[in-house]
Amino acid sequence: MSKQQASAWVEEHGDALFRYALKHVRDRDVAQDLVQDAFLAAWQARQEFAGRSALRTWLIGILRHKVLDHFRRVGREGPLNDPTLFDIAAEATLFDAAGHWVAAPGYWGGDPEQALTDKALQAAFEDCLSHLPPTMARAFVLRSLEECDIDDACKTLQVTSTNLYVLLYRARMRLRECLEQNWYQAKASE
Amino acid sequence: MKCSEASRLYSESKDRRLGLWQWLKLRYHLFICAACRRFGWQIETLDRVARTWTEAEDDIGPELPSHAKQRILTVLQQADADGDKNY
Repeated sequence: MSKQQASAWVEEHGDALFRYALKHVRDRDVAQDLVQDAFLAAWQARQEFAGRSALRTWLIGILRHKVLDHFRRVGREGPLNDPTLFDIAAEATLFDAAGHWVAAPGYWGGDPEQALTDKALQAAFEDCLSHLPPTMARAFVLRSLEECDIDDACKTLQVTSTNLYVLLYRARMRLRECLEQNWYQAKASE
Repeated sequence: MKCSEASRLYSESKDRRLGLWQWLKLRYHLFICAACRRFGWQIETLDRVARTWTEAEDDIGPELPSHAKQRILTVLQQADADGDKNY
């Protein structure tokens, strides 16, 4: 019975958990390991679950904890060793000496809600996110995807709030620029 | 306020409450600067596409490879076996 149940869990939810993990970490092997850790933790706690909520929701919740643990582990190895990450002046090339835009942002259309239905935009976003330096990507994922509050995000990434604001600024600037080139300008030339 | 500073403050306003004076300066800059207004729209769009992408149903996309699924089942079996040994 147990073996069948385990099999059913993995068959029904394995792919979805894998996709969730891939949204947060770019490495497929890391994503697989996190999914495995989540299943193991869930399996060992299965008596406590007892149908409290949807199984998928519960599993995703456990996986989310594993993802945050992973970010914390990696955070200890990362940002403090790379001071250039927090160099806000690195974005200065986008502005001229007077502080004005060198290339003014384009008009993407008046309604940000278009994001909800534009598949090309979502695909371009996924691609742009995959090109962000890992620490910037993690900061953006924590804040915009997981909606972690600033204090939690700082603890997970092992950075000060000042540095976190810089990471998020740089991430947004790069994502914006990437989308402008790969989605907006591609659309405009159709 | 320069556009460079406005872009940084706009980003920060997504994460914390700006002080009143900073907020007023930013709003005034957005009022007079079309480029930064468009920048703001772009950041709002980015915000929404990120949220939509996260919330998208996880029912389509890459699949967990079957060898990974097998390994998970083995690990779960082993955990049960280890658990039994403790009795």
